[in-house]
Amino acid sequence: MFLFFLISCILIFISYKLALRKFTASTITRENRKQIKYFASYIVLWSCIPSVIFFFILYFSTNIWINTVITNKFISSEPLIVQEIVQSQLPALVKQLNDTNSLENVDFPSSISKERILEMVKTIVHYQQWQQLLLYAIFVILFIILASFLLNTINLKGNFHNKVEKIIRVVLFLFASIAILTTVGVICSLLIEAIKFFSQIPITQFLFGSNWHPEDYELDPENSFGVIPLLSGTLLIALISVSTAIILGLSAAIYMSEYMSSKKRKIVKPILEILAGIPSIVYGFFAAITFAPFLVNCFSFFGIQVENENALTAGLVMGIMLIPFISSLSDDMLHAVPKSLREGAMGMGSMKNEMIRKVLLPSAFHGIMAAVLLAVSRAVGETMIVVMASSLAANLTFNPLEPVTTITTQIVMLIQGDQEFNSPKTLVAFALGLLLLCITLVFNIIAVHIVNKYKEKYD
Amino acid sequence: MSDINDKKILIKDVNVFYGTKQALFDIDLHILSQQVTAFIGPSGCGKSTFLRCLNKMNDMIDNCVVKGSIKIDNDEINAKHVDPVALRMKVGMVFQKPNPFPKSIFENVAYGLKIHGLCNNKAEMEEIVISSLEKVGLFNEIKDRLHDSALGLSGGQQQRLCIARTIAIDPEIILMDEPCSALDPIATARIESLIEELSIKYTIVIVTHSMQQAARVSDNTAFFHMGKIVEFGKTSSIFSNPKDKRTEDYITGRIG
Ligand SMILES: Nc1ncnc2c1ncn2[C@@H]1O[C@H](COP(=O)(O)OP(=O)(O)OP(=O)(O)O)[C@@H](O)[C@H]1O
Ligand SMILES: [Mg+2]
Repeated sequence: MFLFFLISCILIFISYKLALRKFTASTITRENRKQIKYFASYIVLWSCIPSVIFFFILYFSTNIWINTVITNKFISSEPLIVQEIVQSQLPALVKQLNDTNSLENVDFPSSISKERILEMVKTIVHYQQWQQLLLYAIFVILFIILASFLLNTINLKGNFHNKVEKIIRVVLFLFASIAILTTVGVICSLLIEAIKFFSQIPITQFLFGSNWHPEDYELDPENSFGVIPLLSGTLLIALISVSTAIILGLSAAIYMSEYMSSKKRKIVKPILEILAGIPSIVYGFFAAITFAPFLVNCFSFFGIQVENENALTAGLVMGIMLIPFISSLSDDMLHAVPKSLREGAMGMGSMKNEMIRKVLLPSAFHGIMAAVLLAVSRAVGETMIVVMASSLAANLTFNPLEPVTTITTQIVMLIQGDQEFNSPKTLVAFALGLLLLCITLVFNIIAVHIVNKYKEKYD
Repeated sequence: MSDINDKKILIKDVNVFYGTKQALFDIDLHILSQQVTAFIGPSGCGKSTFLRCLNKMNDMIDNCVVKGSIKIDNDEINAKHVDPVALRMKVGMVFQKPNPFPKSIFENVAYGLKIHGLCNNKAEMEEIVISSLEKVGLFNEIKDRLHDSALGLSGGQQQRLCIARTIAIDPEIILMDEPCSALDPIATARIESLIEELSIKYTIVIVTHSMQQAARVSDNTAFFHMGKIVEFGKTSSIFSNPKDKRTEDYITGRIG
């Protein structure tokens, strides 16, 4: 791979320089000066892109060919299990042979002879070496042919800046589609597994059931996968954390943007933003080791017995984690409110707090709302703090002093350790993932909707 | 209410500094009651700075220091203990760019009434809002969208709304900093005639870059140059026979 990268860089560099040379002092005019660079880029792009594409097509097709040859020649006669084992171990074996030149210390099922394996791997390595050599050669030759063909045939009068622009557009489009297709792929894979789950457990049982006992689903599969307790737990913790973050974060934002000198603001704001950079597992420790005992002490002072693990701890600590999401964005929003509005309000004889409450906050409302919903999405998806500070017990309750569990926590528990595929106990994790995705999606849609509605009204 | 030709505002030895930079030098001036006083002068000469001294808006700027004496109705306003809130009820301000709040038209005009608690009930508030809008000639244009966003109004309407908002709390003095510079000639003409009407009741100070506007609307004119007042007097005499060479150059368009 590195070699390929190096070769292409060298080729690109040389062809670019050669293309620049095509313009000599006599052919450069005031009008086509801009074209020189674009002409060169055009040549390079049209030589490079087809060769790279061709290279990869060849690479993958020869890989397939090598695989078929190997299968036909060596393993098609073996029993199915052996075939599977050998094929799954092939890449490791090839690497071993390349690195150490022998396969001495590898264990195989006794049913296959070592010689045959060695022979097979050697054949593969042999093929692969030829494949590499050939592909690089083809790549270089193709590149050179294309470049020299283009250099000699294209006349210098074309509209190269427009053409390059078009190519750049296409390339950007391709990369953008990769991003989008990946998203679609993720959702599809989630969907497929979730559908497998729903074919075993009815979706209504999942969505409306109020019992969550995946560990003993074998006793009563229909009634073990009710997601309601997880949903309520997730929403409870999200509610606590986002409220905390709104109160603390918005106050911080208002104080920073309206009462602090810009010098101090420049120091304080990054400090708050550090909160966002602390890994959530660290917050988890803080919640479990420091904050939970503190909270328990506080409540016992008032004679209320609270367990160490409870929704309030997780929610409050998560709220602290979310502060910068709200404070930073809201501060930007408040700062973006034009000076003329502040002066207008102050000129009417407002107190500063009246100006903030009645003019600034309404003006910045849509931005603040977007920040809040961002925080909600984050809270719903957060895992580690809940794992450490709340519990795994799926209680259906809205009492913040009781332990609750969340969707993400349960996903972690479900896919930990040994898993059997196709058992509903594992598959339900995907259904939960899908549900989580839907919830976040809904919040995002609401956010966009609110922002748009508000903009319409006040823009 | 004070008599005509009464000195509503009396300014003595005012110096203003932005940090170490001095923006105004030894300003001595008086503003006559129920008349329109215009400040003219080249850009950066300190007109806005001076206007903002009159309702203590410079307090909002961290590094701005105002020295000297400014008396409104014989009360010194340039002292620490003076409450800017009470002062700004008495001295309203209209800005260069129309700056309606992101609220409904009604709420914009009611804003001052609400924050100062000036109305006893809803009906009274409604009455004041409507009469303020009528005074600026806006009510008939927008009477069926009182509760729509003020940001949907045209620039000229927005500026008249801002004036309505200011006169709703019934100030005695209205400061206007280039109130027409963001408006087209027709909207400008409307504001100018409005200024004339308002000057029957209010004392008005207006900053303008347009000589014609100063000549049309003002009774007195002060010409600022490099942070100093070069000439002050009746508008008619300043424009017909300026005493200072710099004033003459400015109003005939040779400097600034
Ligand atoms: N906030 C501020 N900080 C520092 N200097 C300022 C500030 N505001 C104004 N100044 C300076 O004070 C001087 C007077 O400014 P001012 O805004 O009063 O001029 P102006 O006469 O209103 O000009 P214009 O006609 O362009 O509005 C200028 O030199 C300006 O640079
Ligand atoms: Mg100005």
